[in-house]
Amino acid sequence: MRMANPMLSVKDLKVHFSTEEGVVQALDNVSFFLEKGQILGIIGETGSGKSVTAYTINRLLPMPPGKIVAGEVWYDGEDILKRKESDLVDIRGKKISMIFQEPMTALNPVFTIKEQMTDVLMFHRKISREKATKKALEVLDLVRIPDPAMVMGKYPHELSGGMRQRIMIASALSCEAKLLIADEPTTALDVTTQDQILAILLQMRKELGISIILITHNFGVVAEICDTLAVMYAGTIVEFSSIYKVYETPRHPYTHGLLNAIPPMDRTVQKLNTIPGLVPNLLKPPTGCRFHPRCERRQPICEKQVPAHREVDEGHYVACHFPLEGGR
Amino acid sequence: MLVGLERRSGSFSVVWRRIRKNRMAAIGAFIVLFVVGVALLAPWISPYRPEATDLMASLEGPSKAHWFGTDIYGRDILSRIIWGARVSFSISFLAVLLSSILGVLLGAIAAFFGKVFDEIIMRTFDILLSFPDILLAIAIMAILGPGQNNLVFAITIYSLPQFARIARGAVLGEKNREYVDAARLSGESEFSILVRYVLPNTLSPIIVQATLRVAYAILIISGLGFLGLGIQPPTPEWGTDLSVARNYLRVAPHTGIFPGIAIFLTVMGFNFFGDGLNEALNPRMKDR
Amino acid sequence: MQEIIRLEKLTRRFNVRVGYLQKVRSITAVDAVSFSISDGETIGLVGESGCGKTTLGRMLVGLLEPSEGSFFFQGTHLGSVPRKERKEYRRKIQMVFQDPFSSLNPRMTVYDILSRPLKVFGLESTSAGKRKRIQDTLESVGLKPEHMSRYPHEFSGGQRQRIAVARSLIVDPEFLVLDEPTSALDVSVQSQILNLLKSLKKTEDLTFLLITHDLSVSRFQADRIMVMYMGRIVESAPRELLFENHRHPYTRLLLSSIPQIDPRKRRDKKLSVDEVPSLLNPPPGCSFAPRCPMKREICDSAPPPLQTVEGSHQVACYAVHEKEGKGQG
Repeated sequence: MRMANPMLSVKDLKVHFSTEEGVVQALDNVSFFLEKGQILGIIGETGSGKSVTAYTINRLLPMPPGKIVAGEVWYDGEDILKRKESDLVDIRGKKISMIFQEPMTALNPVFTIKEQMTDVLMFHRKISREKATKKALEVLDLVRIPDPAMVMGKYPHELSGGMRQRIMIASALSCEAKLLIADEPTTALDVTTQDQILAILLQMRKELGISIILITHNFGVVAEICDTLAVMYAGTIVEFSSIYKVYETPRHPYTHGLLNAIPPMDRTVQKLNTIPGLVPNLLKPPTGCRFHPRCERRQPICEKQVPAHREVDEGHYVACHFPLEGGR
Repeated sequence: MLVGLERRSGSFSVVWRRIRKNRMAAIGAFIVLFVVGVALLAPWISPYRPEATDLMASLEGPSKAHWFGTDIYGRDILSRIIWGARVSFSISFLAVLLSSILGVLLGAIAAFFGKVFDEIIMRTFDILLSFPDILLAIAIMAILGPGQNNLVFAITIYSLPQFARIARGAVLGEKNREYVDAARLSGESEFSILVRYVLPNTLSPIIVQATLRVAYAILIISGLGFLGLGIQPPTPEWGTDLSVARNYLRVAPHTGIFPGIAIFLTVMGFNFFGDGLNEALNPRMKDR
Repeated sequence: MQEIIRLEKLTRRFNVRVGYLQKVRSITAVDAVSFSISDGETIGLVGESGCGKTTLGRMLVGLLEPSEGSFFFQGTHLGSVPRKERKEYRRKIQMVFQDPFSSLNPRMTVYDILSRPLKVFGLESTSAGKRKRIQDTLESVGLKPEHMSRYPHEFSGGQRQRIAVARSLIVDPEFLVLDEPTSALDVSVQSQILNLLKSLKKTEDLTFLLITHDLSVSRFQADRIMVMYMGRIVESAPRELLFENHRHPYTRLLLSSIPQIDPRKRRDKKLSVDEVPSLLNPPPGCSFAPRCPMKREICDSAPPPLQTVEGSHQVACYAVHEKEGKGQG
């Protein structure tokens, strides 16, 4: 894939997990890039490898059982995967920060919001508690938390899910990392709260110029805020392009099938599209194209050869031997 | 979860594979199998009758005729250890079986039906638990007097609360799962739901506890025997024999060493096996 | 059409302990809800978490007793039927649960899971009859007879949900409560299950109450949609009307919060913090009043009644009533 000067570029990532039953080939041939100030969506179903991708970029992948077999992650002029374990502190939080699906698990229930936020700041930025408190107030204000001073004195369980997620975002932003990875940040929230969190993410991009990788299974959320989109299936990226191209002219049969499987909101349909078959077991992924057993367009070659990423249209990459012509 | 690795424990072959992989558990399993085998085969493998005295051969050291030597009455120590295993196991297995069935049932009822049941059952067990372990057993034996049946009774009472607490915790964890409600809609009665649906899903912690409890029981039997409150001579029992040997430890240390080793190895074997079983049944515990 | 379900002021309260050692307080999860369902209809009950939709569903299937109000099934008031005779009614009302990973007993084979209800309800006396019926039911949900001897963990999420559907169908019910039947599933699997439910409804002659937070699912499945907010129904309308011409401000907020599957239909977002009031401290009047852009004085007086605005479109909002000239009705 070519790209003038992306802020993050992931090349041919391959990750395995060793388990009791054997080696899970969790990621294979994962490549994409992200430009400065952009929001990239990584979408996929359960087990597609979207979270593993995020954890690998951030070097949060538990190793073992995880193992990075091949690939490069270029960010800020260096290959992050080459970094030693000992100086990863420098990357996590400082250069790349991350928020999770359930903020309650990332927040410590026995400390107040103030204690948790200032501790992180004092650790990463080596500043005094007063300065950290001031900074924390600033970022809480940034994510539009009403009465931040009052909220800082509270414990996580005293706040609503939406509020907790705002605090996670604020905390992630407080270290001024330029890349935010959001792993299903709105999945546990109601739609009205989800809307507010998405609004915050957009606003942060605008005000702070950060780039965001949004991991989700929700096509609506992606359509709402992303600029580019990578579609994952069974550990590989099958399609990668601008959001408009993917939604309006999906070229991979899987993307096309998924988009038509979602019940529409704006009209009533009688029957939904389905994708036959099941998600493969990555202990023994299908040979060739991993999607071929479920694909209606498959040809003999699909079983034998892994399809390379091809640029079928300007900036529109597809890993398929027989891509669709486009159109939903 | 990062990769879609759902918990898949349960099937016997998976558990057995995990135990074999875990060295400590494998050693434990081997010891347990060996000692249980010895106890079962006692009549055929013991070289002498355990009560057969030979005052001419008193306190002899290990020899070809008596591998582990003889005690003060000239009885063959190896035979006494082999038969002693029988006594220890029959009492501890019976007691653990009784206390697990009764304890699990009471704990499960407390958890599943809650409210008054929970209060009455669990408060009673709290009172039992407030006695130091061995003291409770000593008190029961002192009141009832020594004897095998009383020993079984004492150990059962002493183990009950542990099983009840574990069963209660496990049932509390299961009873709010959707399959329980689904069973209600299938017309099942509450008791049937508890026995058919919930209890089978709580077995693994109970099996682990039962294994560990056998080790405790063997220790208690020996301990009471040592204090003279347990099995009475001349019935062969490790703790009782150890207590007798105490008087001759200077002149004939082997009389105490061999029963001591038997107790130590057996208890250790059951503990290793129980811990291994725990890890094999709950593989995720180790990661946390 | 004949009425199969009727609720009259069905209410459910829960006691909750606020904090440790603090006094027990009562919250009203479902507040005097009344509606009826006709035979063969699919009602979509939508709302956000904590709005009471699941509590309502659990009362209908008998997993929870109502605190007040009555529930009629085919004209019979179930509260006054003696416990022993209720079983037959219970058979006719079944439920499909949200999480197929938790709703199937991991220690039972598919055969056991499906044969127990037959046995308990005394539906098939011979074991051959049981087998045949299990086979037929499995086939009707798209599974194969050889799946019978397997355990739940051997199936994928979608297949498990099919087993759960089979379990609810095997006792030959007439009314099915579907509690978020696809929210634990992936998109491609969700569409399979939704198609299946839709076709089963026709072939098995069923009536559905579909509980969901996903309006698009209810648009696909339901004939009529009811929107629930803090324990009350705030709007009820035929499907198309609810999407095209909704009247309640909460319905509007809900619909506008749902992202469209189309990047060209992005909407402006507001950055305000909008918190749902606590059920422990509900507003005195309309529960949506604190968040409502159309709020007026009367809204704080008492909860607005659910009133018909036209045809079968009902709204519980003073502002809407006023506009329709039906004011304090």
